[in-house]
Amino acid sequence: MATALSPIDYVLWVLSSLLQAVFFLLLVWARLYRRLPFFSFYMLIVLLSNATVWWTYHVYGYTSSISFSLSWVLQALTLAARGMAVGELCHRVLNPYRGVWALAWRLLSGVTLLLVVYAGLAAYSSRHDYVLTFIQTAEGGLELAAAVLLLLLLAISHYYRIRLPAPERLLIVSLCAWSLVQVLNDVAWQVWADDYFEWARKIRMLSYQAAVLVWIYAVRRPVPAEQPQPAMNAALYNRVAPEVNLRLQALNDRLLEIFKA
Amino acid sequence: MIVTVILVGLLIALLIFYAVRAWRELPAESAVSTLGSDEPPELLLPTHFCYYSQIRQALARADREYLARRATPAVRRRWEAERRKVVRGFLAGLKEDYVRLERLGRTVASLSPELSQELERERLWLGLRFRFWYGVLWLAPLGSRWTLRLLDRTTNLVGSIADRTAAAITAIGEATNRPA
Repeated sequence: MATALSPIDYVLWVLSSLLQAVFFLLLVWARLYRRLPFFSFYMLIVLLSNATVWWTYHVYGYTSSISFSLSWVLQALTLAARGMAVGELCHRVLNPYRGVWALAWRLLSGVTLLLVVYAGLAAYSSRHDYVLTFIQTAEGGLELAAAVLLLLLLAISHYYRIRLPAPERLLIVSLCAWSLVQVLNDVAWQVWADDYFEWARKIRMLSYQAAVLVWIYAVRRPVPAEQPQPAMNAALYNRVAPEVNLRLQALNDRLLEIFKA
Repeated sequence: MIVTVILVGLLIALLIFYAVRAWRELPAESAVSTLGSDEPPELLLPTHFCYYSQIRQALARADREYLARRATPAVRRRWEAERRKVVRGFLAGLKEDYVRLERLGRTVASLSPELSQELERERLWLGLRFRFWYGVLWLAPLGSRWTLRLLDRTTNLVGSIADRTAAAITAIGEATNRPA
């Protein structure tokens, strides 16, 4: 494993930092920090931790123990901030639909809890192998949890025909795609170990840059003001929904009768 | 490892599916405002069931027996192919009727401040079950007793759904037009 950074690493780092800075400025310019405070906080954490990690790599070399520890501590912080950003996106999209949100938040919380516990158990069981395996397993599990949570959000929005606001839609899709790429990257890293180390780092950076480009595209124009959602009387739902379900049930029963005949 | 890779592959496929749908989807509020506007409510009413008598005619066993005696194999094959196309088109229409009704339920739910967990779970389950059995019936042999009975019963049912749906649409239209 090489101990010094290559020129390509520096180019990728500069490019990544520039893109992050542009995106962060756009967030401030569009005043999205008011609309998405946790997501903006996440971007600030990423910006600062990226600069810190690369400075440490530059000074101590990226195989030094100080670089290793610092980068994974900052990675844990970034993951936690991303978790909050994902939660915020779910809340922002579904909260205006009060009935849907009241049902969905339990489902989303339950699934997240299960996946985080699973990630913890998987990481704990791999602790004897090597500390890096433990960290990679935990990170992969948390990335998977974030991806599944965002997919569930998309599925619920699709099921209830909830229109996702323009910037949030792109943020959700790209965050989810990025998390899935990281899960695959972690799996490949665990399989090929040191041989894959360089590739893992480059893929992480390139996929992140692709995600930031999508985010820049998402906030390139002023975000339209939010419209209040139309509300309906709960009594109407209580009257119509059972009726609709009864009809759907009857239609299903008729279908099944054919097979019982 | 291989399980994780397969899982991620499935998740990526789902992501592509939902991302494409998110761009195309008609928002729930638009669907309901359509109901409350002067536009005709045909968007949600079952419509395909009214062509049933023609479809039933196309499946009549007498026609098949007549052709078996009189027509050449080539003509019979062409007739079978045409008939299959028409009946499957009708089945697709019936599914469309089901989906419209289901969509009405979801739209009402999305705009309600309170939802019943039981009703929502039931509708989700019904939708899954309908699609499964519909798929099985789609593969059932054309002109069989099964297919004919399905068409009889399903069409009668969808017809009765039309009246109920119309009443529900009127109720929603009134609710959305009412000043806050």
